[in-house]
Amino acid sequence: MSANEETQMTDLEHRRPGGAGEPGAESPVDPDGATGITRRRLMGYLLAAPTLVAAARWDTEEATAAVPTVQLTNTLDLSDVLTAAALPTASLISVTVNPDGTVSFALPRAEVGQGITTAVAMTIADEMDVPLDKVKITLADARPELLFNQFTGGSNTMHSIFTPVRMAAATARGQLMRAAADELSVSTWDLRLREGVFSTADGRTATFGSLAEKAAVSRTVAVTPRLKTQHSIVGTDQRRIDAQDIVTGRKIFAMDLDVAGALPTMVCRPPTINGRALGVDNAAEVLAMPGITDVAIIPHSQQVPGGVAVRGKTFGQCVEAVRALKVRWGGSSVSGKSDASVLADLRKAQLPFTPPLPGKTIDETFTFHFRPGDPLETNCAVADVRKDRAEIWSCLKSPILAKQLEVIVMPPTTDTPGGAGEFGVAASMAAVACAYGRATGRPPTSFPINHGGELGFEPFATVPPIPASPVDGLAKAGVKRPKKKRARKAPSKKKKAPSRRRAQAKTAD
Amino acid sequence: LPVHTFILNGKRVSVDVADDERVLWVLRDVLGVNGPKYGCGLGVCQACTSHINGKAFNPCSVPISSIRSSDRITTIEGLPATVGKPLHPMQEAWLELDVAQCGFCQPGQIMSAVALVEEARAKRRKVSDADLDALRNVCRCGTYPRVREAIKAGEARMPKAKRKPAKPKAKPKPKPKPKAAAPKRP
Repeated sequence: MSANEETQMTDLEHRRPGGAGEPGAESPVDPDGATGITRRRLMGYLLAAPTLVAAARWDTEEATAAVPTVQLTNTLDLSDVLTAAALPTASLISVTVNPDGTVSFALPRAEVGQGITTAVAMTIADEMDVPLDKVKITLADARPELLFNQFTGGSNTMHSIFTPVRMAAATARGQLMRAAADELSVSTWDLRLREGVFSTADGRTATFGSLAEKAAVSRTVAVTPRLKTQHSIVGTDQRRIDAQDIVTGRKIFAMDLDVAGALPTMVCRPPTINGRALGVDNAAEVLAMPGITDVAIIPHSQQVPGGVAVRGKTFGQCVEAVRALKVRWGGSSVSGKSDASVLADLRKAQLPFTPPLPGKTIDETFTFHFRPGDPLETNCAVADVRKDRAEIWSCLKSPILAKQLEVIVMPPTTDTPGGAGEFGVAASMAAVACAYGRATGRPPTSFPINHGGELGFEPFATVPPIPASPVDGLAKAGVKRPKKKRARKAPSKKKKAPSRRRAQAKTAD
Repeated sequence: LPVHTFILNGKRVSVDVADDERVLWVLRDVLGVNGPKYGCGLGVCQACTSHINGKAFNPCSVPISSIRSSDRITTIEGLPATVGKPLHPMQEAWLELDVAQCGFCQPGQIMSAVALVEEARAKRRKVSDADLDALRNVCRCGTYPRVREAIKAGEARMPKAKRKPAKPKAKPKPKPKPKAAAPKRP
């Protein structure tokens, strides 16, 4: 990436009205080599810790007021707004060098297949001259203090995080170099860094791992790091760092988490938009079904898509229980409406077009039916709701949203699951899971709900009943199973029948 | 509850579940085997695709009662063991072509791919484009072009089955097909 591009990425005030990608933007270069950042200057910080921890910060008074200074009308670019919103807290993300020679970074974003963990690992490996497989990226716990710096969306992650991560990595590299020079009793100029190992002209070496604790500081200090001017890994073709886990089935998704006490739970959703469950006619009956431990009404609200939840030992039991529920529904906000009537209303509300300009005009009407996109993964959250706190495990693109729902999100880093699909709907599952916890006092639970669920505006009954899982899987797979033992023993008649069928099939082909 | 037994990834397992419990929930919720994913529970998305006696099937659509004690069920976790290596050649191809994005459907994709190659080989032919077109594993990231490439690469890497007599009777599957197919050719 050239300094010019970098300027366009980070310097919002000097942006021209043309927006991203316009050539000729001003590109003043920072004397430190910190690639073309004007006004706001990136500073590196060494944080007090037992091992080396480095962070970066935009070091001007404007940084704190980043959002208001963006001229929306001039930029017309959501990504810039998101980047600006992430700036004030960029100092709160840090790169850690571990005694085992690895470099770790907890990414405050959701990895849902877009490859950001890999891209950030590449960025760090590149800036620190450390092998890519030594960089360990985890997904950060929910960190409310990061505000907008923990929002995954707008295709903005690399845009907003690239430079701060580079600065933190460069700060760590610089400190390691000073420690190595000290350790090897040479000047930093006489050190060569390659693959995480410093070496001197006479062949003595010091590794990142051996320097990690030595390079640590006991008091947080500001430094001015130098960014590398040439990339060695960024811009090259690299494979996903989670590919091995994916192809072996070891990648953990929210539904795969093994949280003590959590049991499969499904929600029977109302047949209409904003419908609410008034009561369950056969709650006792459903509760008596095999494996079912709880039946509870989830109150519907603006944040919580309510319904009736059932909790059981297996999802199969939950499916059966949801199918059996007899729920009295009410309160739909779209009673009497249909796709057709909504479309008619929209047409009525449409402003008349201005008279056509001279010349050839084309007058066509296009109707785009809104379809919510579900990821293939069943939306899921596990929640442990207590009186004064809630702990949620889920793949949330906006954990701050869950915070707004008056729950504290704090998944343990090691268990933070990856997610599937760019749809970000898991947050509502977190809300449902919490509401369930409040309603029943039975923590924790997990909540996938798209078993055959068809989402659309048309207020036809989608659930209940949801479809039963089929039973013809073996036949479809071509695995032959005689229906009864008698069929096997049966003599000649039974043998003839299949051969006729085969003959018919052949002729049909 | 009735006890059901079968061979899972090379080991005999017994589970105490109702007859109509689908195999997917037995694997995931009872045995804690999470490689087969729950996408739809309706035999549509194919994210749970695993093997039964070498054939691809959807555990979400099979009641445990139709599983026999001699049945060998293989999930993505047990796939490498079928070739006695850390990774199955199909998984290696998947890595080489960097197929995955979010990864949710990929265990099912790989299991379908291996079964497809085996099925084609049983018919003594290579995987064709028509075979690939017939795959129905859903990928919302849209990795299909790489999936198709990887299946062909994986097919080339997969060792040809040695034609030695099978030890137990539990392997009747590959035999009848060549027999049925063989007379047609001459």
